Formats: sequence, structure tokens, C-alpha cells
Amino acid sequence: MIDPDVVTLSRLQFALTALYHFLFVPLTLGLSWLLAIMEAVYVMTGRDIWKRMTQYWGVLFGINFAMGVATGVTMEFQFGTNWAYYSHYVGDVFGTPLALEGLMAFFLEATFIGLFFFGWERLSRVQHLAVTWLLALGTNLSALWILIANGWMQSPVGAEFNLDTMRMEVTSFTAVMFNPVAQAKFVHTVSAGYVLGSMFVLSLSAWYLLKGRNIEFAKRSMTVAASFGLAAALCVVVLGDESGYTISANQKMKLAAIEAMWETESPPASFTLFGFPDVENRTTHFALRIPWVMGLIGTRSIDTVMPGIADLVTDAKTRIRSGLIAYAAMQKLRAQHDDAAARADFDAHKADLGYALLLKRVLANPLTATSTDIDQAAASTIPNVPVLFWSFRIMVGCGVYFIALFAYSFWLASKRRLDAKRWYLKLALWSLPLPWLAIELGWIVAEYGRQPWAISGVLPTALGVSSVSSGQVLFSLIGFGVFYTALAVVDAVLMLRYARKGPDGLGMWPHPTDDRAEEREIAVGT
Amino acid sequence: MQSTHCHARSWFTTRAGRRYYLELTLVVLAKLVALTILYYAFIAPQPRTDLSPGAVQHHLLDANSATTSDASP
Repeated sequence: MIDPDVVTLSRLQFALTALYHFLFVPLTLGLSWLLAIMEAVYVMTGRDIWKRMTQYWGVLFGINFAMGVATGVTMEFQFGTNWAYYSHYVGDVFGTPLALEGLMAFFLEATFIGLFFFGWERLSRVQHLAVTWLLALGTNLSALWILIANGWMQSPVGAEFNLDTMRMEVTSFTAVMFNPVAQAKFVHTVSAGYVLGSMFVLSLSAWYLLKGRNIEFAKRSMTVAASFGLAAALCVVVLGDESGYTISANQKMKLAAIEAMWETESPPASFTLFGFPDVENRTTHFALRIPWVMGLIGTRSIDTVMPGIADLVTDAKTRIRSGLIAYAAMQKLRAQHDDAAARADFDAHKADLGYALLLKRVLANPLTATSTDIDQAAASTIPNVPVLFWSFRIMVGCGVYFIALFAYSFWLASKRRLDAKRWYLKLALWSLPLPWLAIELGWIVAEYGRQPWAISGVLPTALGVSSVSSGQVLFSLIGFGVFYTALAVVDAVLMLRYARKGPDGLGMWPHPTDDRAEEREIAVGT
Repeated sequence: MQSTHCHARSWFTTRAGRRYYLELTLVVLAKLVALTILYYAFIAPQPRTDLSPGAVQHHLLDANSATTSDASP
């Protein structure tokens, strides 16, 4: 039987490192495009302030990049140490996108980041602009591959279980690459990063305006952030809707748990705006429901049924029983490869093999499962409903708030009144942590909602862990904790120091040799 | 080919810019050292999970599968 402590600690370790790593990634994704936009304006107008803006925000981008780079390496360590069976089971599929992500991240991105910093005096304006755009492109491409890998975990297409090697193997890399779940996830995730990058620039610029420093510099930065942020925030909502629609096909339980939809409703299902899910009694107290909305979002039709948790558990029981036939056939085939009857049984039921493997959490031999064991295994397919319910709603609430804030910022920018209202500047400043909160909650919805699966419907998380003891996992967890805490302190110190100094404190703007530059920029107003 | 960027020196070649580069370089180097230590202190000593075909079959199929006992280097 599987040691539950090893599973819990391994999951905790991976979750902590992934959540920490993703504090840096979205800022890199978002800031890279903002730098590209600012530099494009510089090249088009020739105005020095836009070059200085690119360089200043590039300084903060560099700190974030330097702090974030290699924080994901510990996750690669964990694939070997804590998730060896997972790596074996899905390595044939998972390995290629991960390798491509490494190539994109470490070669393309690292090359162009070097040229971005060291090329200011060596490249022409247009050449440097091309470097900045390629930097943004490389950054986003590296995210594409990791999200293709993650998308496959949510919806394992283009691969099949190989009985001889006892693992999943690629049957169509094109299907893996163009997996609709991965594509929707990619655009949703990167656009969330653009919102974060925009909020970062908006908030810090608001702080400069509150302090009466770098006025023209901050106003221009806010204008870019407001425009880009508004477009990105709108995209996040639309693409998030698409992401939700794609999971309605193969992760119905996740969707039902997000909605705390305990029973199947007649279509179109209502959307629970607010409520308190009660897991024990399988009900939602004080539920505030909006008719039709969930059915329309989840199925884009008014007559398609969205199954509730109870029906999905019943369905899981059926699939476990079907999976047990595949499991028994697999044992026969391993003993006698040419057993035609077993082969026929296996082929007919192999799609449900993963469901039989759910029983391995509690039983050494799933074939000895009783009805009670099957009921328990089926019940284990329900993720943590309250966590998903609230994480999703806070994330969506943040998303709506970002649209409102960026829309208002855009309106103020168009009226050239960004510094007119101090309450607005304070609001923009204090909104800085919210995109991080929304993004981390988004990952919690995606990954916690996938449980109890490592690969949806294929490999239970508990079966992916290595043959290690809980003490060993705890030991490395403490090591990672110390490492990441030290990094967080250094990052906070560096980021705060450079942000507080600002373009003026760093001698970046107004340029030391040109102390009338800011006045001229005010007069021209470009 | 166009001339390089305008008249002004890039901030990155100023004293402040050089200090910035130095700090980032030190951060990256410190991180690489920390990751190396982390690897040798916490990762390398761990026993490697046996992923031979027999072990995988044992893990997925056999009745006596156990994840905490059969580690072998």
C-alpha cells in the first residue's frame, strides 16, 4: 500500500515550489511585452524618455528574471526524487515539451536578454527593438511548452498505454501540441501574466506620482500599462471562459466541484455566485444562483446537461468496474502475451484502467476490491470543493476588478488626468498584490481541481510517487524551504531598493547631462 | 546600417549600471551555488527509485506493491 504521508509531502513540496516559481514567471511574461511596446514608441518617435522608460522597467525586469531563473529547476529535481513512477509512466509524452521549454527558456530567452542589456550601445535602434521583441517572444514561447505539458496532464490526448513498457507513449505529437486544453490554458495564462506586468508598472508609477517624483515618466508608463492592461484583462476573462469550456469535456468533476454542483440540474444549469459549500451534507448554504449562466458558460448551449457531483461519482463507480476488467486482462497479458481473450478485454476497457488504479491507494490488489472499496475510490474522485469554489470566485472577482481598474485608468490617461485623484493613485498602488493572488489561485483551481489524478483519468497522483520515505521528502522539503525563503528575502530587498530609487535616483531620468529634459517632455507631451 | 542609439551613454554603462550588473551576477552565482549545495545535500543522498520493468510491474500490478520499502540505488 502507498504511504499517504509520502504522497502528501511530495504534493506539498511540488505545490510550494511551483507556486513560488510562478511568482516570477508572469511578471517576466508581462513586462517583456511592455518593454517591447515602450521601445517601439521610442524607435518611432525618437524621444529619449521612451528609451529611458524601457531601460528603467528593464532594470526591474532583469531583477525579476535573475531571481526567477532556475527556481523551476527544483521541480525537475522532484520529478526524479519524488515522482519517479510518474516520470516513468508519462516521460515519453512529458519529456519532449519539457526539453523544448528548456531550449526556449535557456537558449532563446537567455540569448536575447543578454543582447537586451548589453546591446544598447552596440546595436542600432531597430536592431535593439528586434531583440526586445524576440526576448518577449522567447519568454512566451517557453511558457507555451510548459503549458502544453501541463495541458496534457489535464487532457491526455495523443498518447496510449503500452502494455509492454507499462507506460504512456506518444501516438501523435501533433495532437499533444495542438491539444485544445493546452492552447486555451496557454493564452489564458500568458494574458494573466500581461495583466500582472501591467499592474506592476501601473502601481509603481502611481507610487511615483503620489511622491511627486518622475511625473512625466510615470504618466507615460501608466498610459502604456492602462492600455495594455485593459486589453489583457479583457482577454483573460474571454480566454478563461474558453479554458473553462475545454475542461467541461474531460474534467467534468473539476467543473462540478468549482460550482459546488452537488446534483445534476436540468439544463441550462445555474451559476452559483455566492454560497457556503457543505461537503458533509453535500449542499451549498445561502446559495445565490443566477439561472442559465453556468449551462451557457460550460456547454454553450441551453439543452446540454452538466452532470453534478453525485452523478459523476456514480459514473466513476462504473468506470472503476470497467477498469478492473482491463486490470485483470493486463495481468493475464503480462503472464501470457498471446491471450486473445485477455487482449480483447484489455482493448475494450483500457480507457478506464486509470480508474482501477485508484484502488491501489487503499488496496494492494485492486482485484480484491469490495463494493465498499469501489464506493470509497469513486468518492475520492471528488476534489476539495470549498477550496475550488472559493479560489475560483476570488480569482474571477479579481479579474472583474482588474477590468474596472484598467478601464478607469485608461479613461484617466485619455483625459491626461492620471495624477488628478490621489485616491485613485492609492488604489492603483495597493492593487499591486492582487494579480499575483489571482494567478496563484488560478493554479490552485487547475491543479487542486485535477486531484486525485496526476494525469486526468489515467494515473492517480498516489501512484506517481517514488519509493522514498516521508522523512526523506520532509528533509528535502525543509531544504527547499530554506532556499526559497532566502531567495524571497534577496528578491524583496533588491526589487524594493531599485523601485524606491526610481529613474531619478538611479540617474536615469532626467538624464544627468540634460537637466531640462523633463521640462521639454512636458511641453511636447508625447 | 543605422547608427547606434542616441548621443547619451546607456545607463547600463554608468557606475550605477555596472553595480546593477554586479549585483545580478552575484545573485545568479549565489543561486547556482545554493542549488548545487541543495542537490548534494538533499537530492543526491536519496535512494534512486527502481524503475526496471520488473519493479514497474510490481508497482502497478502485483498484489504486494509498496512504495516505501523497495528502494534500491
